[in-house]
Amino acid sequence: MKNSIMPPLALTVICIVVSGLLAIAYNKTYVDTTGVMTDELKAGCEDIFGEGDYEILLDSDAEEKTPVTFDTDGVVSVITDGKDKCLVELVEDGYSKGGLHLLIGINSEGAVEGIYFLEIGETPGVGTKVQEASFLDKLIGFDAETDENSVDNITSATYSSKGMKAACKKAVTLYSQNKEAIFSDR
Amino acid sequence: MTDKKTKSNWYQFTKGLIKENPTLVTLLGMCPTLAVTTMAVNGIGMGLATTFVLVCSNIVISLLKNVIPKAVRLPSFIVIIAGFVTLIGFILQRYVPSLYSALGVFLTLITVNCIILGRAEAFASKNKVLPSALDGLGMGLGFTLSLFTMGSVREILGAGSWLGMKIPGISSEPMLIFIMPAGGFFVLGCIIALVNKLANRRPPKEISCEGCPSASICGGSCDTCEKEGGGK
Repeated sequence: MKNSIMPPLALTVICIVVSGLLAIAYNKTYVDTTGVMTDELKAGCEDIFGEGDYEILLDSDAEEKTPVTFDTDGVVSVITDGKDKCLVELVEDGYSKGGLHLLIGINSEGAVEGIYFLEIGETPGVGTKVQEASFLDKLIGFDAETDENSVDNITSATYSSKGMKAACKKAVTLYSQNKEAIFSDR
Repeated sequence: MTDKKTKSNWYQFTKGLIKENPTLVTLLGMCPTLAVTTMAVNGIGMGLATTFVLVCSNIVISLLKNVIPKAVRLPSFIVIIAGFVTLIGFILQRYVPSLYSALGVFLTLITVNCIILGRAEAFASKNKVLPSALDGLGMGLGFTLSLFTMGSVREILGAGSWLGMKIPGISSEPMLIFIMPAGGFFVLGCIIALVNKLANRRPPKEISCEGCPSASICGGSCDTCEKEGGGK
């Protein structure tokens, strides 16, 4: 009797204790950064446009802090200085799914002003070539009318290059379609 | 007595660094070894995360070795190991998010890393706390050392940089094959060969039935020897 009860009982106790300790650890370490202007986001904004009073657009109707995304796939948040500068934080697929986490700055003319990498999960030395200035320079000035095929892909980093162009297209399209809402929401 | 004990503990710590290195000698944990060593810093991160889990799980398992019934030994070990892996995941996600995303799925897969379960089963469940902790630390550092070495070689040759620093002369034309999977196997093979050469380790010699060290057990009869085609 003891031999049939003790093993499952011991395992159950171990599971309960471990789960309880993990629940405590989770509460101690979890920080909800949804809708919060983190240091990294601020650094990205300043890298592209210089110092300014940047804020994330939040949905005023929602009970909790919910960033406005204008229902665009991959867009995490839209940041603005309330005047003429807009930055779109988005996640795009490169060679790896969700491998490009970017902050794309869009100027008052609706063209890409600069790109900041918040995170890159592409193959080091291959997909990460999209971070090189020689490629990023080609994306500066990219607007809603620009044909994605007019920008050459990097050899050996085709998927990552296409991901970058798709991200730029998404950001400038979002801007051109929602320009008034972006600057009136704040 | 004290000297003997110190020597013994010292041995438990150092054996995992080179002599019984889990990656290069016992060939355990191959999956993360090949997957995350595209950069040296990833190797260090993965190695230290595994070391943390190894030390903690060895200590807890050693403490509970008399409490855990033998019938549920392995599931209990896995639950304890998984608990520490989840904990290190929380900590990395909170304090080192870049490393957390770089390690990706391999962080959670530390749970089923055979080095950790292997040490828990082979050592911690049979020994006292201090030797178990030192065994975990030594094995973890040995694992970290081999991942760092592999990551360094692959990053220098494949990306032309080391720990993120560009290396003049190589960075313009790196050999990309080294950061691809095939390059991982190649580098691992070369490092294992080098370690074997330095340790003067040779493949076991073929021995006859008479020369077999187990001859006294089977009575020198080839009929009962599995290796000779007899027996079971």
